[in-house]
Amino acid sequence: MNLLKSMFARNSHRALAFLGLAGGLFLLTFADAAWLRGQRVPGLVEESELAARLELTDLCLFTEARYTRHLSQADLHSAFQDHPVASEHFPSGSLVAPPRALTTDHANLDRKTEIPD
Amino acid sequence: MRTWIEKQKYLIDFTLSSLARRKVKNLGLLLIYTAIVFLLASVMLFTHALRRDAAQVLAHSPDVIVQRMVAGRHDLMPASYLDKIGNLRGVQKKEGRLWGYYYDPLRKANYTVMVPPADAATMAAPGSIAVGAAVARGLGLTVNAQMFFQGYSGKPFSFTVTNIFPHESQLVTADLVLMSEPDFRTFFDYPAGQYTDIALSVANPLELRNIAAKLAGRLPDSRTILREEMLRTYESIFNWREGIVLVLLSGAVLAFAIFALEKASGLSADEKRCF
Repeated sequence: MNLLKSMFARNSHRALAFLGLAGGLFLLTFADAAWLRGQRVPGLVEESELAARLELTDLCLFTEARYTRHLSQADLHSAFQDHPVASEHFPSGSLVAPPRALTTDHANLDRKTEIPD
Repeated sequence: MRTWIEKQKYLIDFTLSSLARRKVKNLGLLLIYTAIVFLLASVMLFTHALRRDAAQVLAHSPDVIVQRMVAGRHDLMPASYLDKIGNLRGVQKKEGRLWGYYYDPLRKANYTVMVPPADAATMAAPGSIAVGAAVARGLGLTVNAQMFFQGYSGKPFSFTVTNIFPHESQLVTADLVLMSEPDFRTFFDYPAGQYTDIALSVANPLELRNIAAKLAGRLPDSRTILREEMLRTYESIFNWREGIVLVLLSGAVLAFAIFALEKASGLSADEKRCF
């Protein structure tokens, strides 16, 4: 008991003990992550099977607008809804940047692929 | 070695007693730093997990989607386009897909309504629907419950819920409502002989770009979406340089910079007196 008391008598000892504890907890987060990853495997397999079976193309992240529900299927003008200068008013539209596939690759995909690979 | 350790301990003692002199301020700073690291780490870990899940799940999505465009906007695909695609070499399977959105004004919710492909048609027999876990939770549905919707023709429709997708698959099925093709066509008043888009499966992934080029020739008013583009879409929206991550990251980095600047701007009058 006295040994324990003398061990924590100095501030530096207490600080080192606290750092050691925090380090131990930090390492435990990796073990926790590994355990959770193991738990999640059946769900991921199920999702992959459903995506293959139902030919799903997108994740269900936002449901309010079609261009945020199916990000990869949206056309270049869908965010403008009714006319070209209509402001984009769905909140989720400001959380996701326009997919790069829409702004660069898609537009000249056919031209690119005209050149034999 | 022992002297070195003692020296370090004295340095820690000195640092702690210096910090204790302005306890409230330093505790406040510690809390703010902790909150910033917590926020950043949460966003990073969460988006990393979503990106990884997206890559794994969408690796099984269709190889190529063909959409018809009218004046730059996605339009219905006539069934004759399936014949126009013909027997493209390398295409194993081509199938018209039927899907759309239904806004439920009573519950103020959007659902994605979809017809399962022919080889999964048993998932939704005529008169029955399969729903995602979030839809079931939101509407308090159980298996064999009746679900009423108002169709696009104004007529009410009733369906029996035969399947609820498991909670674990929510990332792709949360808002999904699966129904049979005849039900879908009558419910949405969908024109006969039209599809939403066409899904192609290709045997050799190396052929995808050539097939896309040939499709562009045969169907000039259509655009093709390759699976790699779908994957890249999700790769980029969870990228740290874009979207939600950038918004949170810039806020946190700015806060961090302000605190660092405040610390680096020199000692306070009180601190100067101590040294």
